[in-house]
This record gives sequence, C-alpha cells and structure tokens, in this order.
Amino acid sequence: MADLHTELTALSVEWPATPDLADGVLARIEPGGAVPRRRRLAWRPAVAYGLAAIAAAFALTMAVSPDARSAVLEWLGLKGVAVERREPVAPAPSPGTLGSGLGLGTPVTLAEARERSPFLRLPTAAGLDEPDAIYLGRAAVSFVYGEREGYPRADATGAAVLVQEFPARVGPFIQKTVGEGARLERLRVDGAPAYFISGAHGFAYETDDGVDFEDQRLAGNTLLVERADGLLLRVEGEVSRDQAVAVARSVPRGGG
Amino acid sequence: MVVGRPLEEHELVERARAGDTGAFAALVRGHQEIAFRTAYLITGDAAEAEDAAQEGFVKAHRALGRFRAGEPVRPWLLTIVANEARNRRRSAGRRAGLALRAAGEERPSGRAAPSPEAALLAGERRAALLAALARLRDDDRLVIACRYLLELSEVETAAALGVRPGTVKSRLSRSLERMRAELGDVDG
Repeated sequence: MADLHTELTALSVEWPATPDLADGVLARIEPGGAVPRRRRLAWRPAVAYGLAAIAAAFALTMAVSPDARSAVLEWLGLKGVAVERREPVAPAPSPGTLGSGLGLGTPVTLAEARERSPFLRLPTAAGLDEPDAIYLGRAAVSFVYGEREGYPRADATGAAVLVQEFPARVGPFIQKTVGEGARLERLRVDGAPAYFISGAHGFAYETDDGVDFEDQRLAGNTLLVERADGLLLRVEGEVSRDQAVAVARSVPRGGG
Repeated sequence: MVVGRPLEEHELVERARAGDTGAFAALVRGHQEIAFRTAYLITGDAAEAEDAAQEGFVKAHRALGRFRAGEPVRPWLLTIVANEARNRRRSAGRRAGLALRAAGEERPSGRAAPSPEAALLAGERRAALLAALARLRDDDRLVIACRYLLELSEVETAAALGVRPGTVKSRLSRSLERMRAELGDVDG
C-alpha cells in the first residue's frame, strides 16, 4: 500500500460549486441593503472550479492598480485585452445598415477591405459564407453577419455574429467591462491563448486619440484569441463556446 | 499563485476599512471558495455552508476595525467563517454525511498516462480513501480534509478547527493513524 500521506496529497475531490457570495454580502453591508437571495447549488466537474478561481483571482487583482492589471494580463497571456469589473451600460440601438450603430468604422466592400487592409482574413466556418457588412476601423477590420442557420440574431448587436481582426500591438486596445453575472473562461485555441466571456459584459473600443475608451455597449458571448501569427481575433454573438472556437479556427493563418 | 497577492490584499483591507465596499467585495471574491469549502467540510451541507460563509463575511466586515494591519487575511477570515459553520451545525442538531467524490483525475504528476486497468484501480482506491474519510469522527476528518483536500497551512487549519496552531501537527498525526486503521479494516 502506498504511503497514506502521498495518496492524500494526490487526491482531488469534486466540491459543490462555490456560490458568488459578494452580492449577498454587499447587500447586507451597504446602507439600505436588501435581503440576500439564496442561490441554488449544483455539482460540476472540478475543472469549472479552476476557471472560477482564475476569474476570482483576476477580479481581486483587477481592483487594485494598473500595474497589477498589466501583470495579470500578462499572466492570462492576452496583452491586447483589458478587463475590468464594472456593470456595463448599453447605449440606445441605432437603425441603419447591419452593424452601423456599433462604432466599427467605415463600411467598405470586400474588395476595398482587401485593398486597404493587409491583415484581412475571412473566416471560412460552415454556415457563415460571406459577411453581410464589412467595416474598417482604426484598429480593426470587422465582419458583420446577419441571422443565418445555427446563428441566431443577438440583441446586443442586431447581428448574428461579429468577427473582428486586430493586428498585434503592445498594450491593451480592447477593453471589456465585465459585470457581476459575467463568466470568464481561459482556454486555448490551436495552442493560442484565448478567453471566452459569457454573461453581461460591455465592449469599449479605442477612440481616435488612441488613449481613451469612448463608448461602450453590451456584447454577446465573446471569444478572444491572441494568435501566434500576430492577429487578435474577436468573435461575438449569441454563440456557444464551441461555435465561437470553430469560427476563430476557420480564420486562415498569416504568412501564407 | 498570483505573485504579490499579500500586498494587494492588504491594500484591499485598508480600502475596505476606509469604507470602500467594492474593495471588500474583491476580498470576498478572492476568498469565497476556500471559505465556502471550509464551511462545507464542517456543516456537510452546501446550503448551510453558503449561509455560514456569507454570515462570516458580513461579520468580518463588521470586525474590520479590529483586524491588525499586516496580519494574513485568510486565517482571520477562516476563523470567523468556521465559527459560523460550527454554530449552524450545532443548532441543526444533526450532521449530514459529507458527500465528497473523487475528481476524475489525480493531480498531474508528470508521469505517462496510466493503463485503463491502473486507472480503474486508482479510481477504486480514491473511492476507498474518501469512504474511509467519511467514516472518521468529525474532528479527525476535518483536520485531514483541511490539510490535504483544501491544502490549508497549519495556521489556517488551526483557524478552521478553532484550535491553537501548535496542536494541529499532533492532531493530524493521530487522525491519520485512525484513517490507516479504517482503511486496514476495509482492505482486510
């Protein structure tokens, strides 16, 4: 029989899911706070707790300082993305061409986009076909896809899927604003560091002066992938994690 | 582990003491998992553990003024949460069986993947370990679970048990002896 100490050290168990206690605690320590609600608990695989722990450690460090933030971003492996914990706000949706209210830049044709953007690569995922609208922004090329089979319309954007390609750059240029209900999962897509954000979160993009973040809107489920070929990919929509990963993987690699 | 975490934590504590509830929420999120699991080990019931952990954090917030700057946060929080959990277990008057299951895989050891037969045997052994743990007395089970399953330090284990740090080592050694005996009975 192996040594009990060694066996116990190697033993890992499934714990009941840890509830988020912060809301309930806040409701009770803030003046005029409400009575906390009790959440239902469920058993989940151990891996979920690791992810939750990452999100928790992340939130903890995020609350501190810009220095800590960059340290954590480096630790997460995505230097082009900043995340903060704050309730997102949604501006009023604007009518017009698909995606016109999203602040994505200038609408262009596919030919114009190819001519002006050397890093443009169309996703080839099944069911997406050609995008319904393409926008050239200062930092990104954006492909907007309307509703199609397997890809329902997302309330946040009015489109089904939004795929954005950013060239590699030092320093964050996407800012995610992650609310209490949002969930961050770290994953890898073909070896590239990535994370998937589900639940309420906002998306702020860079302004022309290149320093501040001007606007914010509600984003659907979002996958961010920082690829080794120097492309930061962003896939947003009412998509599952697997769907988003499939779209990201269908974007051709650079250098070829 | 996140490097530099203690420093950040103390900064959060300072802010929370100054009335920043957001900073306290960050502290809660950073420690809720270990607090909840510790409470779960004591109560044996997830809903009770959630209530105990929440109540513990609320009481910790009230007691922030008495928290000594520079002290580690986790043992202090665990002391408060474990006390809440014990009070709840006492008032409930009964103990639900601790229902822990082995996770599918052992922690990575750097070795090659085991054969299906070896994996099956290892799985049975893990189940036997947890069954033996569940049969132990509360005190024995708690000290072993704190040290091995939650990987708490001796100081943190003492906080969870409500005993002096100096007694953890001897208590753990006695509890492991009882667990060996328990496993011996089963293995025949």
